[in-house]
Amino acid sequence: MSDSLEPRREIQSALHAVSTRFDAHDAARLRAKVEQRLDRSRRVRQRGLLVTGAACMTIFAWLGAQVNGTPPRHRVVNPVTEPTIAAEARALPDGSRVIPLLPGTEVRSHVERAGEVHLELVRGHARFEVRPSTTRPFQVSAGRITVQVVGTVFEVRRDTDGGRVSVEEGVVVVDHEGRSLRVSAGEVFDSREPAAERSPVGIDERQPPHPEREHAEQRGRSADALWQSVDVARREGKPREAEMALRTLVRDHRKDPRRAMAEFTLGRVLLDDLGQYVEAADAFVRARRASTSKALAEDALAREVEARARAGQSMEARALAERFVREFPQSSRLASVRARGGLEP
Amino acid sequence: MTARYAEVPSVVFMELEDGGRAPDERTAGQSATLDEAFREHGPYLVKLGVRLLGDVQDAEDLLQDVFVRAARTRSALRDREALRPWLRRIAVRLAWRKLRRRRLQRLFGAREPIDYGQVPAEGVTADERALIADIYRALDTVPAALRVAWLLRYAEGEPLEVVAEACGCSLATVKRRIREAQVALDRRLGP
Repeated sequence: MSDSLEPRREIQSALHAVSTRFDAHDAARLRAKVEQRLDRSRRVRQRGLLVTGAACMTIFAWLGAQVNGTPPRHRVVNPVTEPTIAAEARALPDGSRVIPLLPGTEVRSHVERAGEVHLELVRGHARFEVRPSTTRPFQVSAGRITVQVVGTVFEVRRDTDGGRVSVEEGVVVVDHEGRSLRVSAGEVFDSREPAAERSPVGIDERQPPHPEREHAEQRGRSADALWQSVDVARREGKPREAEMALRTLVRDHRKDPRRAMAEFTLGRVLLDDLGQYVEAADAFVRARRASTSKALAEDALAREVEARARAGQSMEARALAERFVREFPQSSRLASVRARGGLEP
Repeated sequence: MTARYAEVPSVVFMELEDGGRAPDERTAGQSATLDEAFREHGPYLVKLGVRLLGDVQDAEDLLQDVFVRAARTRSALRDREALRPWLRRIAVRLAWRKLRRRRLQRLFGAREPIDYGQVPAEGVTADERALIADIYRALDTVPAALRVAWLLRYAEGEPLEVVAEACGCSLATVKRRIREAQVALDRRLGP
């Protein structure tokens, strides 16, 4: 094969002379450079793989969080198959909160959407902090008890033989055995009490006969004046008066820095002077929640163990004692708490 | 249409990158390590680079690029006969890219013109050296693909079939490129 057009002979001959020397030294030098470049590219490739891997993991984690963490806008729950709320506090779509107070507490969600909430306390003891709303029905059922709420803070406890509703703020309507009972702040409804002995508003019989009236008398007093009343009443051996003053304190002075101490003192009065063990335990729970002091929280938990044990709630007492051992292993109260909680052999 | 260089090594390939030998039963004296390939084909590739690019430094860079590229494919030609054509195809492709980049750099003033009076040539007179410089200056005005084909044919003295394979194009395309390059050079250097 030949070309029809070729360069002049002297051009071809000059080009053939173009060359360069390439000795062993040149070969070694260039070979080393090639090795360096290969090493560098290997490192860059490894770094690129690491960065790509990290980026992929970040993206997948973010996507996972998006998929799992997005609250449903409108959720109607199957009462049989829907998992339950338990173990830790949970916020509802309308801003309300459910806080389990005992280990093993189980709250089943039947309807849970912005316009309607229906929960069922299957077992245990839970606190419900309901955001006020005049249009949205908020309902909690516990066995034969149904609690209708507008906006309040209350606790519901379910036992094998009935249930108990204690209201901390606002008012709830308790439906029980075809009767509707209004339970206000500071009052307790206990289904285990005989209906005939129950007050018209379903207040625990151990409450004073006219707590609202007494509370009305205390209303408007300063926190200092109420504390003074508490001290005087306790000194004079009038635990019921001390209790009323303390209840007014925690009800009307919620932002008072001594609120946790007031709840704790209320628990002590109920436990030591009035023998209202369950009420006392609830007061110690509130004291723990309001407390910013570790020492007070420790004392409140220890006294709560005692209150539960004396109320015959041995399971709860044991669970709380175990918690105490975990949280305060160096406490001087450890031995007594273990004994009261049934942890000692 | 002939295959492009990157598709070529249908034969062998073993750990050129690590510079190690392939297992004895596979090699039996047929495979090449990076060291051997460097020793055997380095001088040829540098000479090819100088002829295509007209500059020793660029030729040495080209040689490194060729072996880095070859090593990254993580294979080694079992058939030693096929190694040189494959390396040549890589070299031609990379030289073509270098020439295009060089032209762009010159266009934007990012590179000084090459002193073609320094093109290494053995046993040439001053007139011949001047002629070589003229040839490369004229080649700078020719598109890279035409320049590479023309140089492979007349500086390397390769048959048209080899030029076509090295350039990764058809025989007809190679002929056309060489003819166009020749016409352009005749205009600059005289027939």
